[in-house]
Amino acid sequence: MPFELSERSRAEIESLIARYPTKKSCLLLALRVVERQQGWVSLDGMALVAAMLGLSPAEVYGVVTFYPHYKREVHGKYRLMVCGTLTCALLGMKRLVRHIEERLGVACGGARTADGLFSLEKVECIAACGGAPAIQINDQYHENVTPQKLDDLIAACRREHAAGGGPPMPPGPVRDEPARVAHFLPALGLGRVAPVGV
Amino acid sequence: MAMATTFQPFLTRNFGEPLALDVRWCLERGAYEGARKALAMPPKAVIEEVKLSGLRGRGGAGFPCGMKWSFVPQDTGKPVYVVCNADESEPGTFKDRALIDRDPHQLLAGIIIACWAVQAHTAFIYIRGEMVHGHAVLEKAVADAERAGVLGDTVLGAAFPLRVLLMRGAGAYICGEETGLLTSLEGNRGYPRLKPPFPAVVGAFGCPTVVNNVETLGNLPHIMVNGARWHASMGTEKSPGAKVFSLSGHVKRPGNYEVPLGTPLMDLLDGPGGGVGGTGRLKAVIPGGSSAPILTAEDCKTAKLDYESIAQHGSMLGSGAVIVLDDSVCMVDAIWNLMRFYHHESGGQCTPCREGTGWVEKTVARIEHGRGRMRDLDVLLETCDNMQGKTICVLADAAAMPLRSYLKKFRAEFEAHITQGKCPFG
Repeated sequence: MPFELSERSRAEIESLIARYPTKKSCLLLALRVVERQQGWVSLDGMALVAAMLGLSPAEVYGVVTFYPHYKREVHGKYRLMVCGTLTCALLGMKRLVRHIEERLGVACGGARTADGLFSLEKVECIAACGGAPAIQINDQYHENVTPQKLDDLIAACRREHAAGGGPPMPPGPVRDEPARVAHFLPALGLGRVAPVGV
Repeated sequence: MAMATTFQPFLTRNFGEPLALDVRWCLERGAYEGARKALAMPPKAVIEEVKLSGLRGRGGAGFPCGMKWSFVPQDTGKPVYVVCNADESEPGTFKDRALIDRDPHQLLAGIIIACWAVQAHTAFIYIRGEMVHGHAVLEKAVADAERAGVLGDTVLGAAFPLRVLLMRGAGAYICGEETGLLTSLEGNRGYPRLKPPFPAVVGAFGCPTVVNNVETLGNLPHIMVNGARWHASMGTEKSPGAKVFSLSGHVKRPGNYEVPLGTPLMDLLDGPGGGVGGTGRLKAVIPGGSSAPILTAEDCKTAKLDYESIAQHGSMLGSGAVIVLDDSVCMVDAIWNLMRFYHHESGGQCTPCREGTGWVEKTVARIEHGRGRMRDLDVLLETCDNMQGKTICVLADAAAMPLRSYLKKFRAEFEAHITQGKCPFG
């Protein structure tokens, strides 16, 4: 079933449109609305936002893929973002990455775990150098992280998931994403959106 | 150092106080007195006061704040915008995150002052997408301020409508560059724009715009309450005031420390920082974020934390991010890490940067892995020549400047990697 914006999400995007100077300037925040409702930003979600803001889906896709922080289909339910920049690198980042790779059986920057629960990536400086090494798991910062603390964090994620909590689980990579990007507009019946000038 | 003993931190004074998140507490404690005072003055007089204080931008460039405001034309018939740059992304820097999380009303008070000075009725706070907590803190602070009559149709009783809108980034370093930030604010990829025109004349949505850093704005309420002279009496003649330094790396007590500008670098490191951590032997210090050329342990003996002293030592004060490296650090590995950062964060708009950062990353990686050749060192410098000053924004320069400095000050380490065919540090 294709993704639909909830009433609440629609109302929130409408309220952005009412408050911000241009429709387009709502784009980054509207994508966050989709991310919150869906748990990630899907191609369908991009097309719906594009339609609401009078943009072409291709333009929205271009924006989403410029900014690495949006959660996408490929990420795990729990997205482990290890800071890889200098201070964290000096203070044990590599050890943390190896530890997670071994513990979860995933490659850093590679595919998520088979159960979809975890993905691991190195990110650039997250402004937590005073508590290096640092990691962000979904929205939450964790500082002065040790392998022991990581085990606890991973266990807490598993417990939350087992209890039915946490964000929705992304579905995994979109197999034909490039082809869908070219065609997902008509497929959704949104082909009437006019192209936007520079 | 007589000053440091009597210096009372003001920007960070509420850092241990959870009540600083409460607008009522803040109002009772006078957090908005500076804004009230400014609103009773003609806007031009506020600009003059800030000029007189000598306050320089705390985001990295150190441009005089009052002068930046004075470039804003008031006769265009267009709205004027104030944008708070809270996209703190310079590696090593974590002061703005703390200033937002722990004292949001200090920032809002500063925003009111800046908006009154340039007659802006809309301000934006562009915060890093990663800082979900900071965004929530600001959302609450803005809503509380609106309910308390601090923001909205009237500001603190003055007939000056002002709304503050939040914008969240999404993980792009380039959006910390002020024109990249503005392009992003408008809903685009964060591509920087050519200057001139400067944002003060053609900024957000084609309108005159002032972009100020979180810490810069945080200084304003204190300047308005205590006066320009008070501010100018701290620090040095060319670097007045105090600054929050983010101290990290091989140091015993990492953290944010507020000290007067002009404080000797080693006083920060050995005093609040508790001394060199790791092996306990200092090798080098990055004094102002990862774009700042490196200082050797020898340089550190005489360097002071002000714009002119750090410049005399061939580097820059930048964002005030001080990263300490002990003698176990391989400098080739360290600069490889940073070149990877700049390659990843290049916006991709200009060829010299998009390609150049990739080339230098690969070349440095090759040297680190023991497969380098002596002529690679010249190739690196030539690539720097082809990057610096040849792009729309200064990201290419921010990558080339530290690379040059590592090559100059630690050349023997690069050569040892090449002659030994491996990293001597293992």
